[in-house]
Amino acid sequence: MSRLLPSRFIFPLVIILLSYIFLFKSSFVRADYQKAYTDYTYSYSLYRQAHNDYQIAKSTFLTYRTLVSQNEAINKLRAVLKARDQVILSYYNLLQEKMNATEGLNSEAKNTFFEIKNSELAWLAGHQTKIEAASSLEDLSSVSGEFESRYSQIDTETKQTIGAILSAKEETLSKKVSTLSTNVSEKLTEIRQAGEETAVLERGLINVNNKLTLHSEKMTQVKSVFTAADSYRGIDLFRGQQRLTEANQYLREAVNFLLEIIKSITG
Amino acid sequence: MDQERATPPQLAPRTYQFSPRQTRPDYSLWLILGAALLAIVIIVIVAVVGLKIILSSFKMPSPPPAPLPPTPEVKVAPKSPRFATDAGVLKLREDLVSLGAQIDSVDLIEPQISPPALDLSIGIEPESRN
Repeated sequence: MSRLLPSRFIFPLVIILLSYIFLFKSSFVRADYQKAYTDYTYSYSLYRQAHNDYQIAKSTFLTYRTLVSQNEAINKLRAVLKARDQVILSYYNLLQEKMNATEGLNSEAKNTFFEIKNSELAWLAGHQTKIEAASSLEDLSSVSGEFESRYSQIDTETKQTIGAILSAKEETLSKKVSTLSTNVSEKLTEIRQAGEETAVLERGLINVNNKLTLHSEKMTQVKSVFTAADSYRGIDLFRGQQRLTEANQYLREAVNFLLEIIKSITG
Repeated sequence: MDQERATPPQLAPRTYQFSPRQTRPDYSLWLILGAALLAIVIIVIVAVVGLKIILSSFKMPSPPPAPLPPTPEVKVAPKSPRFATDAGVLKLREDLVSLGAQIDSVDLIEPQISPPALDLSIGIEPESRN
């Protein structure tokens, strides 16, 4: 039996293949996210269309009260309820892909969301079955009410996930700033040991550390915004984003102080 | 009897008794002194102010400032001549500039993953169905 591939070529090919996978993994992740976003926007456009169609059918039924208009309203209501579920389903997929593409999120957070997503998808699957089984406007309205009741939980879960994603981005930057601050401090020690005056520069490092402390306190506020879920009002996404922007400002100031220190050395 | 008519009865000389004159304090001197003092003060103030105005109007105009010689471009000496071109320091500067750009451009809003706007109460109200 002739070998299709000599054995001496197999190992290099495996190495090349693995390198290809690792080198382009990030682009694969981005492609997955882009695909998920495309699916989500498409689902949402279908929902908007179904919603418009339903509004027309509902208006017609409420005006004429004929059997035909009632049946049409039932069909359109069923379609929009299914489309609405589909939007949520694709939204959860979008968030999952965004988590996968975000640097700094640990696997525990991703796995937790994966389980939450599966739980919601299971509920949505059951909800879709009820939509299919409902044959009257009353039944469909009742099924819609179940979604409305469930939505507060969906809203909390998704906003907490958004908070985790945004916080991870900010924390990643914060770690980089801390690392560079440590490197600058080590360089100042080297300069001082070389016999040069560094008192002023080291005072600048105190300012940097103060900014990093303020950043840390602000991130604590961010965490409290995204974890405190008032059952009535839900998570205030805008307030969380505001706190993150304020935390980001502290990082900018810390980097500016570090750059001033370096400029004082280089002239 | 004729002697009695010839010489009228002598009356006691009438002397008028006046109540002692009540002497009022003499304010006029004080008034005059106060008015004079006030006048002096006013005159002094007016004189000082007038003098200042007159002196300022006679102030010699200052000569136009002479054009400054062009400042030679002096390169600021680096604080640390030894470490100014240190590879580690330059690398730190490069990393900080890059990180600063990342911090400035980070998207902390992420509109793409904002929750979708959905109509939650989409059914037909019971009273509308009948």
